[in-house]
Amino acid sequence: MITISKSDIHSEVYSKLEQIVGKEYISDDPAILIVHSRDQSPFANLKSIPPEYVILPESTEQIQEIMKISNEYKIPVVIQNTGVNASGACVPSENGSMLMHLRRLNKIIEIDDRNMSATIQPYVSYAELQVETMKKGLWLPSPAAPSTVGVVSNMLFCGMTWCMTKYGYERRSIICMTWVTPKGEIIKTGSSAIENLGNFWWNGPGPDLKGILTGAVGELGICTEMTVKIYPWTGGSRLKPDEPAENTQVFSISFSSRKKMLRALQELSRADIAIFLANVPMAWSIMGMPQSLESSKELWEKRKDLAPILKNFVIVGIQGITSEKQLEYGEKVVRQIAKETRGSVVDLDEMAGLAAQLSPALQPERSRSEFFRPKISPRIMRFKGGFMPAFFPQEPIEKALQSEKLMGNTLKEFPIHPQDLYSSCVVPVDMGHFGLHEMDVFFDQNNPEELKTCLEFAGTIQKRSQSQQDTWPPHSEWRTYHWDIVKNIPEFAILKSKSEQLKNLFDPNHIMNPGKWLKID
Amino acid sequence: MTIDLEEFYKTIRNCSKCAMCRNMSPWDMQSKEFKDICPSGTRFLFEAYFAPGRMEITRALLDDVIQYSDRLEHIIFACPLCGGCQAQCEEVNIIKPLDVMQELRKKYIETKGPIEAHAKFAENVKETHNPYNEAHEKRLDWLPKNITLNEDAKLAYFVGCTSSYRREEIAKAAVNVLSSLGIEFNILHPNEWCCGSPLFMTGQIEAATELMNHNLEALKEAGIETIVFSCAGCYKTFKETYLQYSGETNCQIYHITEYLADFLQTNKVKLKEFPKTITYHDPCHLGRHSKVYEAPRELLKQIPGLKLVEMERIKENAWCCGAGAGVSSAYKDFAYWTASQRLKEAKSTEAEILTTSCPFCITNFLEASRISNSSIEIIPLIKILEEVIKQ
Repeated sequence: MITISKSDIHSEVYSKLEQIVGKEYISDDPAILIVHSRDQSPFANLKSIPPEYVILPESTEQIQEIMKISNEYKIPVVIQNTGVNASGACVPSENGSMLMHLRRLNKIIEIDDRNMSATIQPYVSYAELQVETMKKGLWLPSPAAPSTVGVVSNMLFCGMTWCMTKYGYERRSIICMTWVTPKGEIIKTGSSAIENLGNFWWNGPGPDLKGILTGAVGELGICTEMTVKIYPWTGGSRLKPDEPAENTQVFSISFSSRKKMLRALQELSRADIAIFLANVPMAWSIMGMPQSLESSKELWEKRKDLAPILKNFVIVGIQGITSEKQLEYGEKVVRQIAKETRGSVVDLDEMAGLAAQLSPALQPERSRSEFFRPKISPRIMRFKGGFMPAFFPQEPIEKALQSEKLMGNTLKEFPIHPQDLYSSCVVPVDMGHFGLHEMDVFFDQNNPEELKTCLEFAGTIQKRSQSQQDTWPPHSEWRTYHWDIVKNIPEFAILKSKSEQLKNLFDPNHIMNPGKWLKID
Repeated sequence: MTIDLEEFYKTIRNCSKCAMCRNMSPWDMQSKEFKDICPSGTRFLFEAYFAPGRMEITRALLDDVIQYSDRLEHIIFACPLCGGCQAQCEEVNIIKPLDVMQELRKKYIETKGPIEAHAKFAENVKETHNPYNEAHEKRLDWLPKNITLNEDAKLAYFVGCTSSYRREEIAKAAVNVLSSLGIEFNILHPNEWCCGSPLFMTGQIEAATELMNHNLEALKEAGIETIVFSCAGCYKTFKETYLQYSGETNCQIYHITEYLADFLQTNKVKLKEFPKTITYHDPCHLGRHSKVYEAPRELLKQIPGLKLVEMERIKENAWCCGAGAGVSSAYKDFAYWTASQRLKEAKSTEAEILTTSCPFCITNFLEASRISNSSIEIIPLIKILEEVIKQ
């Protein structure tokens, strides 16, 4: 039995917090607290720390007041929004923390369809915003995460989507933000900084402060309102799971080699015809498409049969945004590039037929909706129970082969089995200027030894990748892991002393989500 | 065949907290307003009240990390076990939160005994064979004089406690419909006892098993081959729970909507007009728990003049009425709040009538409607059928 430690000031702090949010929205009951000691991060399995308070504010003003009290009593504050896909970022790393859950900030404040923007509170998910904007012929590109993920937190955290080739990293869609600093001040960015001007311009005034909050993994404040760009959508007012979206086509293309596939990804990006484009790893398809773990396991045994289709596999979605002819043109381009790069285009119905011959469990037709409003992500394909993004390079697309080689060779040194289960996914970003490369390993969630081996592996590959030319290993994801558990992680805080100054400026008492971005000794 | 909580342990640890279980399927979602699937989490807001929170609590209890408390009791029992979370989880993962929560209740009862509001169920059924503590000899008082039961019939109508004592109009409508269609049937009174659903659902398995054994024996003795239910809860208990705990039921089990959908189609029964716009609520025990979604809709679609308009959350995605699994007896406000959310959704379809095929849902909707002054009319589906089949 563990006791959840309560500090000497507990009652005093609790009473002050209760006055701000009301009795119903704060708790220090162990049953409420214990839930927040673990998230989907593998690290929390090794070291779980419950918070001392859980609090549910409903407004910017309440958050401001809470932060003032937290500063007064130097209470570490951990922010949880939807908590989806935010491994390690939303669980305490210190005793005596306050978990601030943003569930009550859940409103879509405005959809401005004329100027293509939406103003939302943090707890609004991609799915929720999509269902409302699609009615107005607009959408927010689908996240590379379950669509239950919060828009605001995804933008401030990793910001990955399946649509990065066209729309870039999600954080580029941020127009304005309202932000409560750790000291309890309010900062507004873009045109919202000037009272009554409106939320339409992303820059300034002066230096663009929003860049400070993005990537800081909650260490520099809490975004309580955000205006984001939304984009034209002609796929119909709602998704219908059994039918393709209107005016839209989804193609899958298989290649005989990684090299050909990477070239095709670059060409397809450059042609600017795709609304989503990604290489989907075979392991993800096998784990994600079937609807049961048993089916996944059966399919994994048939992976050699599936390899010709799924080993080097690209999925591309096109939409006639301006006209039907755009759709026709898009299809021509897809087929032409596939021909030039020696890829084999298989439409989803055809692929479903082929898959059915191998195993009815494989359901590629689910990709019709999956890439517009995802249900799954590798994190929830619990083939072995545990999932770890071991290596997350961001690099020119053609460098992916080099990184995969590093991954494969390093993996051989570690007893992580089966060795070929790791996944490697390349998603072109910004019309192919560069690519995001995610390489994951899977471990038995109930086997701490295997988890530790994976952590050692991840630390090793991060260290080795630093010396690899043209590879940018740091990723927000890694900053959230518990520093004292992961060994061999190189120091990612570029210009660490400047980062520390920034932290000290905004958060002099170091109370805001400590240890998730900066490791301050 | 039941699975112990300990056997779920490894699975529980695999919950990836993807939050699919908080909302209806994103692919079927039509609006932000009607996207929630979990009444408990939506009402009480703390993560502990959503399925991933309850999974963590289960893990913590199994690891002996936390102790029972009033709050923990509330978290475990302020949940209608509607299975909305499990229906979503089945699409992406294998955690089975509903099954885990049912086992969690059993574990609670083994350690702490039943909670006060539920303990009386067991006491009452012991005394009077129904959880309402009504006299057993009055169980059939509602039976219309003109209805003749056939003691030799191989088909039994299982009335259930709620229709016998609280929603007699449902029981009357059911027998009138069966009789109008010339279907020979019997009611097993005095051998029809509570099906045990309130006890099974609140973790009081031992007392529930006694009722199950009695009812199964009564069916056997009467030589019943087919049994028909107008209560979704009794139906689910016989079809799923009895099978789970006894391994056999030895007769054909139908909800009355299934039985009639088949009968009306086979016998080409002519129905009267019912020119109303109606929306249908899927009771959790009939829908998600037993996968009967189409039969009630087929029946409604056969009625001339009736226009069926669907709510946004239907079938696997249906929002619960809020009454089940002991919630309406232990946490009335929560039960009415949940039902009032559904009434709001029903109203948004512009239907004149909300109908459903469970007396328990009807009772909760009627009470919530009274409290919230909802203007939508609430009529049991079997009453509509009685109206259109009446000779």
